[in-house]
Amino acid sequence: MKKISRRHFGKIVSSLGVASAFGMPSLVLGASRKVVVIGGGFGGATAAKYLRKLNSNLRVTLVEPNPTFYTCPFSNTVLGGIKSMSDIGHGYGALKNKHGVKVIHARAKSVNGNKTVTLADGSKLSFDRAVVSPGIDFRFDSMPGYDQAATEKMPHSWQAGPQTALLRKQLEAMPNGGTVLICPPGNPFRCPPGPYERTSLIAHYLKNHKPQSKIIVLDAKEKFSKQGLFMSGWDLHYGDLIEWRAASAGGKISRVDPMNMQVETEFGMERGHVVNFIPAQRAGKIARDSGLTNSKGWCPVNQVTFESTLLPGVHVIGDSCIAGKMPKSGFSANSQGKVAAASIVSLFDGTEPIEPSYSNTCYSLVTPSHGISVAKVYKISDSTIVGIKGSGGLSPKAENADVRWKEAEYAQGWYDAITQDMFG
Amino acid sequence: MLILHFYLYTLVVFLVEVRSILKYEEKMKKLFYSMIFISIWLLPNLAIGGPDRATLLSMSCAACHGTDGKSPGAMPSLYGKSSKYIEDTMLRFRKGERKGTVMNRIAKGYSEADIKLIASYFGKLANK
Repeated sequence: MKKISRRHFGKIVSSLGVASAFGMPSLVLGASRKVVVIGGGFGGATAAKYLRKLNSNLRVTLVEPNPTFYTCPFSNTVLGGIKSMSDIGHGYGALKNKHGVKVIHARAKSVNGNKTVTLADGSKLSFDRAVVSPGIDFRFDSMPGYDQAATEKMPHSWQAGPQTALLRKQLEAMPNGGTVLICPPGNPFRCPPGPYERTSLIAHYLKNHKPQSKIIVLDAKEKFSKQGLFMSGWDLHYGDLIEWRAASAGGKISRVDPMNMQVETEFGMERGHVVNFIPAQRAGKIARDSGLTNSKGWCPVNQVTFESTLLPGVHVIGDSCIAGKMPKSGFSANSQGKVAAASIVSLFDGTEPIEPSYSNTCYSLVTPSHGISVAKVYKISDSTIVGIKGSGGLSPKAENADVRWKEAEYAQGWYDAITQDMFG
Repeated sequence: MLILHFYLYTLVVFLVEVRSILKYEEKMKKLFYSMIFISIWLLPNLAIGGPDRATLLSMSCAACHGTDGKSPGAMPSLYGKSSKYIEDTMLRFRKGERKGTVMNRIAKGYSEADIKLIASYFGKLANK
């Protein structure tokens, strides 16, 4: 029996060494890599699905309190009486059964520096990397008179679910000839065109069922997203049913009085039979409780990996994070979920995350058959996310009814596709 | 991908080395075959690696056209379309030769090289 020569052994060790330095870690350790995703909305559900899709060796746990997720996109169609709550509700069955994501229905309390997540019952989950996608929370301190209790009188309906159902109920109970006050916040906030699509679809309901009624939009801003397209649509379909007031034209609110359903503006009190007050916003509570937010209440992140600049190993996506020029939208959160998932897979693999591409397309309905859109493709430039020049933009201002109808069809097509992309 | 190639290369070097030892040591044949077995077993895992840019670009499309381009509703499916069709259509949108509703605006956000990557990704997906 001959001994293995030193030369041979040396070569084996070196080739094994090289293999393990480059290829082996993902093979050997890949199976035990754990990612905990917090929040099962547009960002979190997408990230969980795509992490598993890109690397089926990852152990992915999604922590989400609710068994059914109600989407903010299309919740305005519920307010307009076009769709029902069940049309905008989605479950986690396919994420569990088809994509192998472990789903825990619990509230996560905090993400900790020692790579654990603490749940509301005190139990802990450990992770190699975490993705935090908690959406928005409200600044109840920003408007005198508005607090948690006030949301039952003057629902914000800016998180879909019971708040959506409540506002719909109030609209149904309102007399013909009543007034609806809609009060959008200042920037930045979730879904910039959302309050104006809401105005449109509530107007659609009132026009058909309570035509003597009126909507007054008391805006905290001087201008708003897709303003030209919305206003020409309002002129076309609703005439003087809608009155929009810019901040400087009496739109700015200084106090709300939920008991008397009144709000105070610089020009006096306005009273509504229904008041939809949308408060100022900040990152979700868990982001604040985990030290992920800056002084303005939002989460600074690396713009390629979405890893927090404040807490290593924790990635923040969606409305909570600061993502350059991207708006806070469901589509943006979906896009960020994919970019973050791809980056996490690369980081586990020991490779450089590849150059990302981000996108946002946002449809709004002026009526159920009049759709408008805004789109943009984004790239990384000087470590921040910027829109690609010449890409995207608004639907053309002068357009025939056929194209508006097509865009309304595509709005529904988009909804069907993105909810399948998250939950299917 | 580079790492995958590098790993396969070192694996081959490793196996060649083991085999040359086996010329001296017959009993180590078992080890040799188990090595081959292990490397075959590991191969599917190796293919995972980090995603490439074609994958990442194409994931953007899924938000409107469905996961893997399989649309459940009014949006056109990309799955099943040929690379040539997707590339030609995107280039026509990009140049403004095809009107569209929103794709004429979105296509301007992608370079010709990006469009080629996206087209070839979906073309291959249907043939898998």
